Amino acid sequence: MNAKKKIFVLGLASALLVLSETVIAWHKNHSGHAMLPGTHFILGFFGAALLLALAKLLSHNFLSRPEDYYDE
Amino acid sequence: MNNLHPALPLFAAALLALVLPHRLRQLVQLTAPFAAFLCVRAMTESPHGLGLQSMVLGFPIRWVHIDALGLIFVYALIVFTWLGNLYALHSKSRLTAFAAAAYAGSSVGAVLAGDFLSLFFFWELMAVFSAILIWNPARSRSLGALLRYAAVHLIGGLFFFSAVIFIQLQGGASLSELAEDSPARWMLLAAFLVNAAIPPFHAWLPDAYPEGTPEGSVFLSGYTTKVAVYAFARCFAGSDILIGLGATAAVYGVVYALMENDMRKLLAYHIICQVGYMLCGIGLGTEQGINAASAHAVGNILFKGLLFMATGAILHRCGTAKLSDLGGLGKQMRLLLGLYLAGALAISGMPGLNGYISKGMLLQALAQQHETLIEWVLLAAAAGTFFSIGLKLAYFAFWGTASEKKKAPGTEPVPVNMYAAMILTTALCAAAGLFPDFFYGLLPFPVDFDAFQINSILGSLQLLAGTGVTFAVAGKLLKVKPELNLDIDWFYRKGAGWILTRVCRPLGEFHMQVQSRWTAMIEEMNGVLDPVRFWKAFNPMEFPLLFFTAGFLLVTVIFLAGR
Repeated sequence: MNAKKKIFVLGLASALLVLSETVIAWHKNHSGHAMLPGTHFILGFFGAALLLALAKLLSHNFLSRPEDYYDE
Repeated sequence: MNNLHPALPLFAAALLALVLPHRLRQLVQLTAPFAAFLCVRAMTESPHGLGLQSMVLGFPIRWVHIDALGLIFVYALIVFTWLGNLYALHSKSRLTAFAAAAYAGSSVGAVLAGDFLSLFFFWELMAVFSAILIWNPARSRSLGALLRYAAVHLIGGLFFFSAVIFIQLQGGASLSELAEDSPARWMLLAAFLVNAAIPPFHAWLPDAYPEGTPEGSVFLSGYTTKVAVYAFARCFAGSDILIGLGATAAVYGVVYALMENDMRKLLAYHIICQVGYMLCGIGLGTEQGINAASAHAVGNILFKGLLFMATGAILHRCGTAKLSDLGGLGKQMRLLLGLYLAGALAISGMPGLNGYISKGMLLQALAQQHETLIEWVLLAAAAGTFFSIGLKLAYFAFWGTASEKKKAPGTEPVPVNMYAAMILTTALCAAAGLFPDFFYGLLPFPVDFDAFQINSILGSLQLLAGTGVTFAVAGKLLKVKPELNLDIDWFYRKGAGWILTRVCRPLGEFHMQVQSRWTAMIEEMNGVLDPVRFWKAFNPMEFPLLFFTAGFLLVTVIFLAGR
């Protein structure tokens, strides 16, 4: 499976998940307050993206050192 | 039997491990946790067992107090001890077997402790025995990590000790009845935060845990932080400050894990992240919050143990735990891949595994108290967890892009007992995830939670799918490089030296100059020489000490003035 195909399958699965949430029931989630269908998908996507961006920014600009940094 | 402290069989096993030959030692390793379990059962069933007391130096010490909160932790620790022993069964190292059993014994003792004196006693024993597990003959860096670990825990222990003295001076207090405004409370908080590895007190954990042997690190992953979580649940339930600290820890751990190249260090940062979740539940203080925190602690002992076992097996096989040197293991080790993924999905909250249950309970508890922001932060941290453990680590270790030249060969066979331990741990994760009702029965309070609502299942799957899409489009950002990232430990590994050369030495030189001028001046004046003698006896290297002492005194004075 090439990369494009993988992304397509993943996208399809995500769309199905969001759709099924819309269709089946979107009165209330387990935590007791109403959420729009797809909220968790958005949270997963942007949560991971934001945290990754933050990690890479911090590491690249401030925190990254060679592996033997502490050995001197 | 019903008056035998459950830690004693484990301590006995530790001593036996030092003298017995390999085969008999294996037998002891596999039976001692059962004996400990039977002791706990006997104690819960007999009313006399609960009053194990003795006098030490004129203080009455209550060694055992059993209730539902302690029991679930004790059971989890004992089961994990057995699984860890099975994992380490092939190891010829007497020292590992000794330290692991003694560490497990002290953890059990700490969870069962009936007052602060006995808790402190076992707390310190845990620090000592766990330090032994950090020592790894194969890694020259491990000794330094061990010493730093010991130093940090010594300081944490001093806080605990001061608190215990204070409490005793005030006439003693039971574990759950600490006065709100007592200074002992703050000292205890500091001591517990050190052991729970909550930022900024956390740096010892990612520094030390990745250094041990594959077996040693598995044991390290299970006890210290979870016993600290238990201590928080016992003494600090409902303290608002824990919610903020916990949420910060969750994000902090996940961000560092996303940067990390060393597999075991990555997992170590995730311990910090997951302990953050537990603290949020404890900070809520509601029955559902404490339940969720206990459930997550138990779950974490299992799936984090499983992840350390799997990465330990890779280290055992390839001799390295660096993602940048690994790759392509999926074809060689399909079973290990499956077991690793089970652990990774469990920690990420995949329906059907135990992480899904405990995270769901925690989110419900947060929603009941209208902590929506914290709920979202923890959901985002869950996405980051799946990203770094479930996708990044798995991708680079089992598929991977490392060039053939750099790739570690991987020839050492993985012992059967390692696989057996991982399979059993996976089975427990799945059992608790699929049939949570039995698990609910062990929790300290009645459970009001319906795990398998269609919305929550869909929500969890969506979260994982969303994270997967980010992973698929992240591209170059994913690259792992052989490097390390600075953390708080920089301050005591490099910063102290920097302060010494840049601040103390010039200060010292300045002091010497002033001193010689003074001496000359005073000698000219032919005055009384006593102040000169005092001045000369003063060592310029004492400046840092002076700073700390002055700072400590200042804080004490401010504190006392504020009361």
